[in-house]
Amino acid sequence: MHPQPSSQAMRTIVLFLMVSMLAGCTTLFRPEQEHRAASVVDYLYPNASEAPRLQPETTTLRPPVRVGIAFVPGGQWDAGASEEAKQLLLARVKAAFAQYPYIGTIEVIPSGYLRARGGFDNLDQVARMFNVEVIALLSWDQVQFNDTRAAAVLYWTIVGAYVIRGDKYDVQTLVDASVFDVASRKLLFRAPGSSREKGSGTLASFSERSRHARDRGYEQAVDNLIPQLKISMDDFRERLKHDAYVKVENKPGYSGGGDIGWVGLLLASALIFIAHVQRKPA
Amino acid sequence: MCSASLPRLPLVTLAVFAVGVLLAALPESQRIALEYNRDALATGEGWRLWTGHFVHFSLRHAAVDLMALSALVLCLERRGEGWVAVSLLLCASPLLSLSLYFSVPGLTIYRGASGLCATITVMLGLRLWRDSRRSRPFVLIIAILFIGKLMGESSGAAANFSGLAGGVQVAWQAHLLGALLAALFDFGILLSGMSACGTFKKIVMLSSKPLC
Repeated sequence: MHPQPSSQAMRTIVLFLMVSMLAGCTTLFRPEQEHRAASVVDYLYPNASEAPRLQPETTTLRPPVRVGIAFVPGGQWDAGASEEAKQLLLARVKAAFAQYPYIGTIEVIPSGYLRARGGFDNLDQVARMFNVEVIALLSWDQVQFNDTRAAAVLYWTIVGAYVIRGDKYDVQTLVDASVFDVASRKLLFRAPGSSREKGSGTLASFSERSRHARDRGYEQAVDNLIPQLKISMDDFRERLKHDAYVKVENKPGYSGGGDIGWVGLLLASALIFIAHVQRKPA
Repeated sequence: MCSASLPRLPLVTLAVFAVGVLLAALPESQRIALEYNRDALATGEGWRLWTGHFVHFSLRHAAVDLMALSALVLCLERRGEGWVAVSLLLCASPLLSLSLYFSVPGLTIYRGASGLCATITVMLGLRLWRDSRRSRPFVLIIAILFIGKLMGESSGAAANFSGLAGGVQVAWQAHLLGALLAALFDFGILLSGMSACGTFKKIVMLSSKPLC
């Protein structure tokens, strides 16, 4: 029994088409741009139709300040870096700020405790739970551009899908730290960190490679964020000197400096001058 | 003859300045052992009552405080009251520390000579007030400014101008207690007709005589 010639030709065509589709499906359906983000504005003001009105109340900071740090919840299934990676990144930020005497404890808050679009109510709950006065919220925005090289045509050879790096990615990450005083709900200062990761991969390895690139993107953005955050914090300390709405108070267990200051030095000098003039014979 | 040819060295000032510089040059680990520390004092580390006033948090902190303290001590010495300076430094330091210990329980660590500076400034001001009627308006202006500074520090308004290391607040209580101590000292000296400090005066006068 020999199959009919027309039936055999049909089988060959179907088989060829199936193999072609298998090889090309990833390329055909991979989006050109992938976007993942978690916005601090969406988290804190989920239903805001207009700009929030803040009362001009005084923010009181009592060093050493207890600080919490957390990633803003994304609210998507694929919410950026993995929880483990996020904890490691937050631990890195924590280590960079542990040596400042005006920062007391730094609590790393797992994402699970923050509810997507939870607002300040959720922030208050978390602050109470972790006993922190100030929270640094890390929002993130990551865009991945996927492009295909001309060499991708060799994917059709099947072997090429494993050998030829025919796909390119360009991952741009922005991490932004916004530091809020929980009691007054005031933004104290903010700092950005960014990174760009470029690379390429074969059809078979592209997904894995681009995922690692996205993780590296977060790491590099956080590394870039840390010095920026230190600069912003120093600027904030300078700004404190002129900002009537932020007050620094002592709390029990504080360190006190017997600092006469320039004003005191000036007053003492004036007194010394009077004493000197008084001693001069008339 | 000898005193006419050689200017008398301000020994007390030099000693105060040298001690201050020496302690400022110490590594942080050793300065910690000398600072006013409430818990350490409670365990009997009594030297901190004195040394806490001569160690500082930073070089800038030490420089400003030492400049003021040395100038004030020099001024007293030039007035022939080096003994007042010595007795103030020796007696006011522990009294100030003890006052802080009992009246400011929240203050766990303290460093700086400004409490002593406040004591000597007030002491000098009181003396100038008594010595010359002509100086009184100026002394009064300085006193008002001093009180204003103290109020600014206590309200927290001037806390941010201190330039102290982060997390360290101006211990304005030390300035207030220093000023009160000076008033008490001056009053005590007046009452006793300087008899209480007479011995001190003799010792310092002898020690500050030029060698020849």
